[in-house]
Amino acid sequence: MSLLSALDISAMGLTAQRRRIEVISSNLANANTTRTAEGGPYRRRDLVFEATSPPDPFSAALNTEIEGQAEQGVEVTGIYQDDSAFIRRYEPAHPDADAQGYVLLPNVSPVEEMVNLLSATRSFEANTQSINAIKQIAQKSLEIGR
Amino acid sequence: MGEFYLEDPTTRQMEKFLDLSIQRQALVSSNLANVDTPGYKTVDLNFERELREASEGREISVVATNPRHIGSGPAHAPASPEEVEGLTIRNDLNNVNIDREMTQLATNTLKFSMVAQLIAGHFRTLKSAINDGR
Repeated sequence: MSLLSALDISAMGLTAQRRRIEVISSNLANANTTRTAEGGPYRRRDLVFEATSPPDPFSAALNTEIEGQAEQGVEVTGIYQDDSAFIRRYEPAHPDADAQGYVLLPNVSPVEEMVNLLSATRSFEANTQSINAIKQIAQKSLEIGR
Repeated sequence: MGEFYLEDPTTRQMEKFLDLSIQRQALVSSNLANVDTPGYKTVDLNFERELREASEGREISVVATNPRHIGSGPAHAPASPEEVEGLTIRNDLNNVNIDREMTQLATNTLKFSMVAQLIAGHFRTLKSAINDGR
């Protein structure tokens, strides 16, 4: 039971990190977007990670009852918009420029996004390693009866 | 002849070792999955203490709330994971150290393989005895 719940937890880790990579891609893709559905330039987005119980509700409830604080999975519980100031650039020819000739550009910093992207990739890999270790353990335990 | 060879204390203890390894594996997975979760704290088992308590026979059984209940046989008490002390806490109040977790992951897998092989060997010996050494 515990091995499978460990697999579930690592899978949750993979999903969370993949969502993070998706959001980072969206930020990078929209680094120059000046028009959005809600009006104004694109706002940088980020995720909220939260530690939650493993997906199987029965074993999760059982674990909490008998073991107290047990292993926890991870879930993306929200996406928030970064409210920091937009970048102002002087570009009088731009159709979205204001009266003084300034264009508001998204508050996306490519350097910050690249750092986050690397961090998400490494965390993703750590979860993959964990899954491989669980597979190895399962394989080994199958050899006991041979 | 002494006790039943299939249930000797060494095999029992090795079984407990595998059980604890799997639980520890789940905790390492949990730590790795939450490496970017703000406020999450690293959890682990006190492996040596759990193993000792298991061999000293810390057992639990179902409570008989009625005199006519039959009750259950003894079972090993579940291990109790605890927060790990002494790790550096980052700005987001998370203290998962990825190097520590990867080391745990590697040593845990190796130890599991080792003990699993010992148990397999034990059963091979038995099988060989049953088959008159053939």
